[in-house]
Amino acid sequence: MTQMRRGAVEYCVMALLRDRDRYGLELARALVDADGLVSSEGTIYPLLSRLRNEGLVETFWQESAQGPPRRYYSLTGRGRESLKRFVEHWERFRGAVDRVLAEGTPS
Amino acid sequence: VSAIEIEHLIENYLDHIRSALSSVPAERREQIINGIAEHIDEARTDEAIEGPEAVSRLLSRIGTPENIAAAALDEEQAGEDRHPRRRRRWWIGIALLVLCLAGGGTALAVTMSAGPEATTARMSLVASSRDRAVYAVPSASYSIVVSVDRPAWARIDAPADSTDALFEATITPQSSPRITRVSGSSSLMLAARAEAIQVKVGARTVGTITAPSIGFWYEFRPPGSQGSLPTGGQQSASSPPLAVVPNLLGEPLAQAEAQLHAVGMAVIVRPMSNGPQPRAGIVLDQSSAGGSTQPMGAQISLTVGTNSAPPPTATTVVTTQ
Repeated sequence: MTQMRRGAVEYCVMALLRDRDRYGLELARALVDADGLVSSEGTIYPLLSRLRNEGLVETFWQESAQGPPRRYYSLTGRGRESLKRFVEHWERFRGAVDRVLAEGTPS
Repeated sequence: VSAIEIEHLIENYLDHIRSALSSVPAERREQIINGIAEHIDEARTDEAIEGPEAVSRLLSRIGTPENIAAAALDEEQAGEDRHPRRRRRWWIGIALLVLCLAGGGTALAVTMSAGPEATTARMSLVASSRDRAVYAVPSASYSIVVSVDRPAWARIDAPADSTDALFEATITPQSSPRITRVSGSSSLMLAARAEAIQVKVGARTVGTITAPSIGFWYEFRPPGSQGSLPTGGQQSASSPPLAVVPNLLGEPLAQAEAQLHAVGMAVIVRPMSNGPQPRAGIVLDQSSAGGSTQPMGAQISLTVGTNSAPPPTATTVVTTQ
């Protein structure tokens, strides 16, 4: 179960960045609010670091109306493609699991 | 008193995370710690967190150092699984003119040109160990171009008179650190064109200079002083020179990018599909007005019209690793 959650969280991060860039705290809050996706806010930073190193996510600095400039995370073209593939797989996977759980046999 | 107490709490917390992450590669470790330090700043601003108790609550909400370290080890594993042949990172310790090579000197091409007639020479190896190599350079007039064929970091250690400031520079594979002799018979100036320098105090990033020029002096010994390490040296970091931003409104994207690159600026493209009259590939807005001055290496965002339905792809040139 942990494995499955871990696998899905990275795509949740990318999905949060699909429509707009966000800073770290915003991402962490959105994931903590989504029940049980991450155990604590800080655990997203190792994940973000890997996504950056894999070229799926990149960062830039932007002035903030309040406080110091913030690092924003944004989705790269590769990240967008990767997310799109995941969404397609996920929909098929979810459908298959739902059917098996409901009927007890594969359709 | 309370402000100092809070700084102590945070420093302690970040130090604990740093020790818990000791088995994580340094570059990754710094990214994680910076992310968390930034998170703390953002939360303190957004949620108006004041007082040591409230800060303690914030830190426990972020997670225990062990918790974060466990997540980091999982990610290292995930990265390994995905990229089993992951290349080792190259570190260049410019401060000592010590080229720290992860596995040998083969990927480091060094050419020197003397005057207008370029001659190619080799830096000579004077000392090496498993992970370090020290090169001496002939004391003729020359420029040295060190090209690194993969992403690399250059670390410049703090000047002797500073307590804990640390400059770090990321060098892209495209932008080679350039070592240029400018004066004297035994000093080098190294100017590296880097993606960004993070100025750090302890674990916290207190400022970022984007695409800086790093000025750097080093005293060296001519070849022949076999086996001995170069001594002496001093360093400085200079702020980048200013350049005038061209007016790019109405220009095709490719030309606009070329013009910005020509004055040493980085480009961020922001596609816009819902404008009143989208004009594909044409610059509709620029983040710094034409005619204004910006430091070389500044990031200029260009809003570019697009007719097509596919989701916008942001091409960001500069990241701080």
